[in-house]
Amino acid sequence: MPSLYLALAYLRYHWLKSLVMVLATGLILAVPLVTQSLLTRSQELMTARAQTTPLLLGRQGSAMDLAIKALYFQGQAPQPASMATVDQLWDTGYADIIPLHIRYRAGGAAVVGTSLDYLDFRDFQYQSGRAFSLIGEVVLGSEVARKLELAPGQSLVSQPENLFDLTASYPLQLDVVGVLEPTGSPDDGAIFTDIKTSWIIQGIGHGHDDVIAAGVTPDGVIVANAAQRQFARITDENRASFHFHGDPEGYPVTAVIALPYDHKSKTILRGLFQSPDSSIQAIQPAPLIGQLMESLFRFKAVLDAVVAVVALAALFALGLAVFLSLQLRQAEMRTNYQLGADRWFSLRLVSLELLLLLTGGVALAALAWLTADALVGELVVLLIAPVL
Amino acid sequence: MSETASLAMISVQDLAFSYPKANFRLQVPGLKLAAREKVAIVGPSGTGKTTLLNLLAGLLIPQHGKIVIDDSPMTGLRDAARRRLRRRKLGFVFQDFQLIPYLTAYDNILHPYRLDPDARLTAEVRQRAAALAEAVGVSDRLKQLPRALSQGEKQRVAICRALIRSPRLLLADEATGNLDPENKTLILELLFRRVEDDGAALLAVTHDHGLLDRFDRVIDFADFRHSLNTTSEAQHA
Amino acid sequence: MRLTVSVFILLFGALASSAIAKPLVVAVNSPLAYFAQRLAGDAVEVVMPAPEGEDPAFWQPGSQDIAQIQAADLVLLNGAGFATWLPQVSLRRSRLVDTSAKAKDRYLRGDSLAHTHGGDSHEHGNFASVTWLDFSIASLQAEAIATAFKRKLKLEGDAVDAALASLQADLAELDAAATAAGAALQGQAFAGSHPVYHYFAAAYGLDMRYLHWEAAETITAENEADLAALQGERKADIMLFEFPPSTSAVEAAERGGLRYLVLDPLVNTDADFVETMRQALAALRP
Repeated sequence: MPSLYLALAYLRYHWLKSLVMVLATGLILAVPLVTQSLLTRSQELMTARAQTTPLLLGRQGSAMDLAIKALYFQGQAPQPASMATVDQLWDTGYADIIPLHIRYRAGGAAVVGTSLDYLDFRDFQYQSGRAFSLIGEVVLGSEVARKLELAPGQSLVSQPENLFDLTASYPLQLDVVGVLEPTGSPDDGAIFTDIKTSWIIQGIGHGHDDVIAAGVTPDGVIVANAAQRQFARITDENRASFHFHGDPEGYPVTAVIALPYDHKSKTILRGLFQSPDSSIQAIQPAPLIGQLMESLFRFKAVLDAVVAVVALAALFALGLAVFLSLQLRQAEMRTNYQLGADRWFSLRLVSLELLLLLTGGVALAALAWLTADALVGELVVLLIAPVL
Repeated sequence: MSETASLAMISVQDLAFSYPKANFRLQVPGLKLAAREKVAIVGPSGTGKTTLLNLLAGLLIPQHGKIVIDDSPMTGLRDAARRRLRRRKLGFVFQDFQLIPYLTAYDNILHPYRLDPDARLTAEVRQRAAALAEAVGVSDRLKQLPRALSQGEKQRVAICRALIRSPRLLLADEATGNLDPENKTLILELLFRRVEDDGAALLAVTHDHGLLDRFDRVIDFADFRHSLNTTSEAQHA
Repeated sequence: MRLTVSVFILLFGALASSAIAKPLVVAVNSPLAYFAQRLAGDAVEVVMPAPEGEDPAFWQPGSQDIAQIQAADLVLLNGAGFATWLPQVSLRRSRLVDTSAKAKDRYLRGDSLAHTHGGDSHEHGNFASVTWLDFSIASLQAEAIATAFKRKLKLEGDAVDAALASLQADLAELDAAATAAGAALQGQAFAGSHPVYHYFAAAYGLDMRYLHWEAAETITAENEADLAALQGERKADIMLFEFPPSTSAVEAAERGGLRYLVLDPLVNTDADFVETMRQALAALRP
């Protein structure tokens, strides 16, 4: 195949131009492929997550905010419900109830305050270490451990909710006791701890040295010495001094997962919160996330249109590049003609070159697509999460 | 066809050509070249030297007359046939070498084979290419691209390319024009030797009057602008 | 032959594992452990993790204890803030039983220790937690355990119900005995050596104030001053000790003009709760 030999020689000689053209075509082809793959996979992931979570409850408000916070630990935090709801749900006897407190972050990852039941419910396996068993102990999702390079025995510090949050929440040192196996779900990017630890970060619970009385107020309240120290870390020595204030029923929970024992229980539970004046909403995540995915795919249609326009522009640019290079090759074409090349020789040669470039572009796009497909779990979190 | 004509490598009869829009007309009543004959064409610019070469090569089509190359008529052929004839019977050496910039010297030499769908690039061909390169002294430059070659080396590679298919007629248009005097002589001798060895004919347009005495015949277009009818005897005299 | 062997191994394995798989029930104090054992008999293994001599209300479990508690199939909590370690440990809510949940509206405020951080004032030890000395609450706690055994451990309902009926009958008898003792002690003012009798006093009509005496140890001048202060406000007649008091304690009480009685809440003991309590209540009557 002499033409192939010549085409390859030409492309090699103009390697930079060839590379740019391969990259350009590869990019044009890869963008819709990769987005399609990401969206499909993220749909699978998100839908799977929604489907494995039968019932979510929380304060009346945006159902979508509640679902996205409780399922993916992203987005706006809904107004919190209280532990009274959790107790009320347990008392119904229709479901196992898992509280979720998702408000703070540590090392950039969401700190999910929950109970050991959540770890059982998601069927977590441990890369190393064990489940949290004391306040201040945390279990890391695999991604968090990888990114922050943390292992059991090490620690990280919780972040204030925002720069101006100087009052209630205080940075608490969190001791890593376990790292989860990857799950391909948002759990990989979260930090799990007992909900009581979250309450301590929020300032509802705290620990201090035994009260050093500085005086007693007229109504009999002992005024503690200002030198009294709030612990930034829970240790074996001070753990016993940690305690909580106020009515436990009033402690906040961001969301509640209910795992009804059967279909009937689920129906009854939903019914309990369907009255319009209920302060609590009960939502089924699967249909809700289904709606979200529909709108994401509408967004994808717009994206495809944009890509199509860009692709058209790029094709014009590539066409121009080909045309200009043909102009520059007039002398070569003329030489070939003088040497007796047949009428179609130049066309064949140029077509073959374009075919090779296109093949390179397709290969590149396929590579990008396969890579995206392999890394999709991480990419979904990276790309889709901000959209939420 | 006459006996003389059949002996001739090239025979031109009654040739007339004019560019449609230019005030130019070339007429060649007769021209013959025998095997191993080396003919130079001289004359001022614009007298039709290159036009004659193009007519012989089938790149231009005469309004009138007949061209026969090695028993094959060039005139009256369709484009594809003329191209085929060019590939098989003709070799070109150009003033500006016209090497393909993205091919190595070696691949440039082999290029005519890659242009011909009927030819096969056999091991024997490759050996011949190497032998030619050896003969013209560029065998150590074969892996280089043209931009890495000196002018003299380029022209030697171009000569190898012109000779690789053992053409019956070698057309050289100012083949030594861009070379220094030492290289001019060298290149010309190379061409002559190959023509002798292959039994081909050489028709060379040149401005180098110092080289003319090495040719068998010289045709001066200044004299024969409008009626060119020469034989080898006439010119020799 | 090979088949017989594998069948044997399978059967033996199943038997062995069923023997091992007896549900583990952790109770945070001895009364609850006693109730659990009465209700389930051999069907469960009951553990009260606080070591002998430790007050389960203030004991701190070590990591071994925590592992055991987390591995339990059921953890029986007393409620009313009993066991200070609870807020520090992660447990599966699905395995917890708040035995006094149905008596929440009857929780009593305890002896409080309040302090402020700057302007933020809060109280510690919100509730008194020795709920079972009100035997009607103890009866509700037993009922809660029975319900959990049936629902969560899937124990045989009839057997549990029968055991519950028997236990509740015993607790009703204790309630009657306590009521009788309370009636017999009407008109007397009490000083508790420790704040553990809130529910008992409220249920059976005793007028009770509290000290913080360590009954088994030598009484300090500070202890005596506390008693003097108490007596200055309102003269008490009887001092109620959790354990038989030391001579030093008895003499100090007598110097304060008090005689003494003993009522052990049985918070950490292997003794038979009903039997021991029956004798203690009988001893209260003059």
